[in-house]
Amino acid sequence: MTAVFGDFLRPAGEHITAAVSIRDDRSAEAAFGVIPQFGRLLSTLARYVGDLPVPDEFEAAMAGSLSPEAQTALDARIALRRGTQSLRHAMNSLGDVVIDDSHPAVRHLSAAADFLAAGRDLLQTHFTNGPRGARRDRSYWAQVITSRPVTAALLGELADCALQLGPWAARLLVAGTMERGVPAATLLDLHTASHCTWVAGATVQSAQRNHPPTADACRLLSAIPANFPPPRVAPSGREQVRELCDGVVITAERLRQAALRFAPYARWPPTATSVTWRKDALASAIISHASQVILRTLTERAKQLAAGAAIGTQLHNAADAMSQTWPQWRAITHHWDILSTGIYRGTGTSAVATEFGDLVLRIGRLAYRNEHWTPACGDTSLIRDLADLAPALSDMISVMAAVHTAADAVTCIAIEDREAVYTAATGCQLYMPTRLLPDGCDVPFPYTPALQSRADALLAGYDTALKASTGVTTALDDLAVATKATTSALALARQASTAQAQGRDGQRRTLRFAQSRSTAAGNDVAGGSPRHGQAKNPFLLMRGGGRPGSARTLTK
Amino acid sequence: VAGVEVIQARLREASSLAELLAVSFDAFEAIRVLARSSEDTVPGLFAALMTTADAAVDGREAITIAPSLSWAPGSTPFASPAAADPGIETITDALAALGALLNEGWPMLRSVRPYRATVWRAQKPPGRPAESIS
Repeated sequence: MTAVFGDFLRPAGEHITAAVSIRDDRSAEAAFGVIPQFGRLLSTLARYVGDLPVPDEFEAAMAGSLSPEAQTALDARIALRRGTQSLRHAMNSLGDVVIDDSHPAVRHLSAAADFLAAGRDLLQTHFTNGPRGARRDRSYWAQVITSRPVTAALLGELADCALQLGPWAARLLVAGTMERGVPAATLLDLHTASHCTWVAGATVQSAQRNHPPTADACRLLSAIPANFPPPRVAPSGREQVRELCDGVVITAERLRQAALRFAPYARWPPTATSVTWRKDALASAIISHASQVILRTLTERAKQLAAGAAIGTQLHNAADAMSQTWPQWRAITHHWDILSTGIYRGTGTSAVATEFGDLVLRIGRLAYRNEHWTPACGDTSLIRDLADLAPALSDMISVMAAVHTAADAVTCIAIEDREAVYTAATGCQLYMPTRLLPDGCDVPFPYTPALQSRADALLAGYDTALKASTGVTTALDDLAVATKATTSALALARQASTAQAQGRDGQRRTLRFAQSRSTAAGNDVAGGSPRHGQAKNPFLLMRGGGRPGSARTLTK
Repeated sequence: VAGVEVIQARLREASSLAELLAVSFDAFEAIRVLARSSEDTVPGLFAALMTTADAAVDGREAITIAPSLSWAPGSTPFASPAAADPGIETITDALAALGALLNEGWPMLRSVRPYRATVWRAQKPPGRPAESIS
């Protein structure tokens, strides 16, 4: 299983609680041992707050007024950094005193610092640095991490840690164990650090008193996974329903990650080929069709298991939404029957295609009785028995979660493919076989440029399919939340991510996209004058009316 | 299925590489159109027929780049059978028969692969890079 943030946050909190609850008299050496670990903890907390998407001190001073949330994060960041600096100075001024690392409090603090650092590393896997050092999103979870609710939840957790550590560090000074032979500067630095730690925690606590983080946001924070694909589990042909469901979740996650990882390359040759997009559309159609079968079966099974009217209705709605989706994907495959990006260079099977193949097999084997089912299976596929698919309510929820993750993966791929196809269409890279033209068209190439109307119909098909796929994921999101399925985190993440995109740069992104589309359309309408030295490109010649009558005769 | 018999006869009678390629192109088109027209008829065969049509497109695209194939338009369009015409079993039989015939014809094409590659390089269109036939 992929590690999630909660796997690190929870034990970190437990270790801090354990450390501060040790009340025995510690030796001076043990007290000295606490200082480096306290320093590590404070430094990690400062880094967490430093990662938050708020302006730095100088930008804040220039900006005038900040939102209350940003101001809170900024104040906490300043306090924690100051505390860290003080502790660093304290460590330097300690000199070569004897340190005891074996005291339980020291060990707990050390473990807490390790867990917190690992948790931060996990969050950082969702980001990368751009060419100018700016942080860029690297996963679908990145926008969730920087969303307002999750940021608030993270700040709340960090404040809890700080509020335990600050007063406890102050007690070290009161106990007097440190005062023997310790420079006054060190004591003063430790005092400053404990005070700053408390200030950071109290700032967040008081800011969140009236608007505490929601339970959903805390759950979402804990559910953030590491941005590493789980290892591939190839379909074996002997998998039972539960194993198939687990396999679907793994494959869907790998597919999502593969789609995003290869997205930057998917729009340029040689990887940008219609074969990839055609196979993706085919897989999406088959997955959606089989998913509809599964959801219909589950709807019937929900009645038998008395799962409740609300669940039954939501399942029915999800099945209906799915029944709207596969015809759209099928329509796209029909478009790709004729259209292509020309000569296929045969770059081999892409990572996305492999994962999609696994997903098709698993979803199909969930839907149908034949445990060796393949999409090319010649026999008529018989639908699984109700009780076989979901013997109990918990099994039903597992199957729903599998369908949910599969639908989400299909939508993710659709978004990337649509962008890539749009780039190909506006870049005059869509063709059709010359032999499919009516008699009388003299084109001395195996492929001829596709008509604009065909390209437009293809793009419109993607828009419709994407809308239908989004409708399905929304319906399944609601179902997952209602049934408290494991994929409810996916639903919450989508909500947070959508709100984040709309709130921050969604408007700008939409505008940019609209501008690029209208520009491309304008070129086509104007006749697409030859450019970039491609005057002999038949696509441009035909668009520009260079071959009299030929474009008009190709409309069928 | 109307039209399939004609393609089957043309496949059997093809005497040259160019002729075999041309009729294979039409045969793949026939498979595609037949499979597409039947996708909705039996839900249990949806995936199989979708995959069949997709494989037919793969086959047709592979033939399209063959240098011995005439690029001139004029492929015989295969008419989609009317809904009331054949049953699904007739259509799947026709698909299987066409597939088997195409499989018989392909060894001939494979045997001339080096020739095809040579011809292709000689005939490559201006402004386009040489493509490998693989």
